[in-house]
Amino acid sequence: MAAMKQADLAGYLNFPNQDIALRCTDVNVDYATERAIFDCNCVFPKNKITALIGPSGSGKSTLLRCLNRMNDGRAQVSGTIDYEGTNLNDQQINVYQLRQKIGMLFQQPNPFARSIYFNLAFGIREHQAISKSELEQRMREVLEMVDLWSEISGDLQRHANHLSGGQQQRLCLARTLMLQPDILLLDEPASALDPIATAKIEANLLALKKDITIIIVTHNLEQAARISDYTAFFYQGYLVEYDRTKHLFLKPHQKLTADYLAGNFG
Amino acid sequence: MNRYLIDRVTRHLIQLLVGLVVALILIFLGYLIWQGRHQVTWTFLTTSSEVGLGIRDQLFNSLYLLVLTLLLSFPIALGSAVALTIYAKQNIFTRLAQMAIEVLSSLPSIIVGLFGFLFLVLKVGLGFSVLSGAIALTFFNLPILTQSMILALKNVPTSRLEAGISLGVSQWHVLLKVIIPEAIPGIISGIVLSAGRVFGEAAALIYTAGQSAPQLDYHNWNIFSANSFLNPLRPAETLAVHIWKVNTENIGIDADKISRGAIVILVVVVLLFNFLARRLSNYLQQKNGGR
Repeated sequence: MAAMKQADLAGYLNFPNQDIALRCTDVNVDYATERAIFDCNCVFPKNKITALIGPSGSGKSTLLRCLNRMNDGRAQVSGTIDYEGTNLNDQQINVYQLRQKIGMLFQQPNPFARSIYFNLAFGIREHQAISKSELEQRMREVLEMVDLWSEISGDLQRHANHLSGGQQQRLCLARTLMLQPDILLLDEPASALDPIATAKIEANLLALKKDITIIIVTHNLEQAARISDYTAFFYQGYLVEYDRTKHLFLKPHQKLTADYLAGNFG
Repeated sequence: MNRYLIDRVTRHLIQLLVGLVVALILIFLGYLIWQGRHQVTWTFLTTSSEVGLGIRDQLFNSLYLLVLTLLLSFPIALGSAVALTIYAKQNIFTRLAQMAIEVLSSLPSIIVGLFGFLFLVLKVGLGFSVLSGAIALTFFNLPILTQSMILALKNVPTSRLEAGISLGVSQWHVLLKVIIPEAIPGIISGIVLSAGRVFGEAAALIYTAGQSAPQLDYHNWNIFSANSFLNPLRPAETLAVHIWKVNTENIGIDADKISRGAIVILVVVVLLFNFLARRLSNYLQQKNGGR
């Protein structure tokens, strides 16, 4: 295990500072009984898709949840996570503002059991006074971004429960986009969806990355290879290797990475 | 072949048992209503028991007590249900609280009544009054109401809370605008079912709200006036207590008539509650679109 403590970071060390969206320094995460992340140091480049891969329990979702403070109240996070010059892990940070800028999408589609309109209006109305026309204009924009506008024929009053699973997940994506985030965190967003719905989400993400930095946890290695620019491999709470996706998949430096990619353990 | 046979036999057996239960209830309710069918007249409903053969004040007292009880118990029950399902961590204290709720919900109502008598009526000095009755009924009602609200809140997936929080909304606002609205159909049926129990409760009220129904003046809106219908410190015999009293005191040939009629009203009101609860919660569910 000692060998793993120094992560193999061949792929990222030469980023200029202005291209970095998030920088984690010495991040440790402790649950009540065990440590889930050990001394994680890594950066997430702007306007790129970074995939976090690794077997179940490797800590990738835990790390993801640190990045917009979703671990508050369930785990102890230490270390610094730099976002635009401030440490977002600081307890003084306004988490409500932070989560507007750093949005999240979950494994299971979790729309509110109300209309599409309610789903999209809920977050933004908490944060700012917005006119009805401007609100509906933005709803249309985000629904078009996720290719849902035509599928629902522009009917904002349609009930979220009446959408298919894939449509629900895209509605959730649109819901976070309403807040115009800088960064999107995705926790296995397609693992509950069929291949066609997955492909639609992936197409959305590729289109979104010109404005948004995307960090995605996935168990689907093909998905990581298809859409991500960078990949980080986690194992038992350690960041083992981090590189450009094509380098990591084609020529992993670490034996652990190679074994995982080859399916020698899981 | 054999398996199909067993399947059919058990299915019919279960249907038979369900039919039996339904038949028993229908016979029971039918008998009660049939017995009292001649007693229920407009005069019966609008005459004070002080001056004639009527239950006007008892009926009002029952409804008034119910409203006061719900006003007292609803906020406490909702608050504790929210605290226990959303905020509290699983530890020894929450388990103790859960256990206390379960124990309280099986407390015999006469115990609640005697506690109310000793503490509220005598010690605090509220006397036999609507208020004493309402507080005693709150003790009686709280555990069941809390449990049904916990159930209603647990039926809302926790992922909703996470979704709301990830949008930068505070837990409190997600609770207020997403979780509780989604739980409302369950909350309402919980309220109405407990209302039925409260409405029919007698033992907890005999020594708290009292056994006398002074004639009320329904035009007197001064709540401090002794004969005002809104005065919370006057004694208030309810319908259920009235039925118990006329039967035990056996005040004459009319006792039978009064209790038969009162029983019909009691049963009909409770049935009405249940019916309305179902309609309302279906309506809200459809409006929320939850299918």
